[in-house]
Amino acid sequence: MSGHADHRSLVVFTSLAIAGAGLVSASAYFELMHGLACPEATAAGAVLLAAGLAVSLSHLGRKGRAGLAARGAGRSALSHEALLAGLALGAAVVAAGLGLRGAPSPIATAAAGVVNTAFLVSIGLVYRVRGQRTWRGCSAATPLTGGLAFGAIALQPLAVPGGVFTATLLIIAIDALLFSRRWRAVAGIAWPEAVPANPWMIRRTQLLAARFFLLDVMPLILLAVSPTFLAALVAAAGLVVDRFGFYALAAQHTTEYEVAAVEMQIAALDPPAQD
Amino acid sequence: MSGAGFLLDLHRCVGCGACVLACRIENGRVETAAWRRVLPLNLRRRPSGPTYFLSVACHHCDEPACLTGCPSGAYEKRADGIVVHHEDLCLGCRYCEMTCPFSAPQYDEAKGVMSKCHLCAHRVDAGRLPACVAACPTEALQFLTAAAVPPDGAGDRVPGFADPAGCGPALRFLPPAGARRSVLFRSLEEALKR
Repeated sequence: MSGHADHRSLVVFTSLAIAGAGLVSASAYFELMHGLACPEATAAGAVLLAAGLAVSLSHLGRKGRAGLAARGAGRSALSHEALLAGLALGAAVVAAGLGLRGAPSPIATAAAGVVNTAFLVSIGLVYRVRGQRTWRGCSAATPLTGGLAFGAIALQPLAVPGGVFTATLLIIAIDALLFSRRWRAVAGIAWPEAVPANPWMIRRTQLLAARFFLLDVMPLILLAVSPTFLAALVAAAGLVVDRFGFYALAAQHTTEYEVAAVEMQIAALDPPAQD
Repeated sequence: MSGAGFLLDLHRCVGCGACVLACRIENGRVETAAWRRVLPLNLRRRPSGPTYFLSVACHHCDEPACLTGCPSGAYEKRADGIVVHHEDLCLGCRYCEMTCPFSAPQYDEAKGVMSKCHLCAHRVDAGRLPACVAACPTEALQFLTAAAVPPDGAGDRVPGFADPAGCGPALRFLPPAGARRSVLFRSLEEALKR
């Protein structure tokens, strides 16, 4: 992706969608595994998801053709994401609706959890593009782990201490582990290669550190002190920073990049200057 | 290379940009981003490296990343290997811009859709050469049909050009000739291998 492309709508879309699907998935998991039923959380997740999908339309040059996005099913990762987004929203609405009416269905809850988790996986797979140098490896898993971490953190104020807190710690730990690997991969890209194509690379350490502390470290500290909604707000900010950093640190391996690398090589071949 | 594509003779290309201009005029892209561009190598004329020009556009890959990624099926690889883009099916999602490692698809702000080099399919179908090839004054840029056999010495890799996504671009290069340029070229290739 070129450095000048406008990614604002993608940042907003994926932040909202990941937060929504993460909340629905975590809510379903806690309901089925720990008996923590919270249809309000599922409903909130559905609202976030719906808002994200609405924003995603603004990214399209031809919004009226959005329905064509399903034509690539079986081939295009983006088609899979679009289809799963619709299914995730539908399943979340059904599960939340049944729960709010006082007739919760474990099957509907499980379906919402599974489909929303699959949607989070599909978001990661969309960006597993071979020509992108900073979207490789663990980057494909961070929408899933980040979304689940946000969902679990947001549900903590409703839970009693015990298994739910342990599960939340585990999710945060997995997210921190995977993100630290992404951090290492992005930090490993040599400066002179990355800077001309993407000025955000200069501040990549601050950007990656902000995401790590906001989504993993700070919520953990806040939850350990007292499970309040403040932790969820901080984690939400972390999700936004995560998505911003994801797009801002895109570094595509283009022919221009390759030419720049060869220019550096030619410079290195130059004989040392004679005094 | 299983379909139509280009052959670029690095010895003959002088970086004049006639191919870019011809492409712009032929395809009505005078004020929008060009589909073809010329990238100079060894721009600072360092004495240790060869100077040559890479004239690049869409490479009509064997396995086009744009086609695989497109959610709406706007890309089509024809039987002769030319990868064409159908504007009427394009969402303007710009995903092909992310997937193509050669920056071939360009976003058209006015139309809200992507566009890219179609190897002048309309000219090829009429038995003519693509506009960029026809305009090249040194015959450095040549058209290779699906049935054509690239000349001896033509390779698919050259310093400054990589296929990081394994797309199989239908672009072949003839290395710079001449004693000094070929020695510099080979020394650069060796240095990059190390």
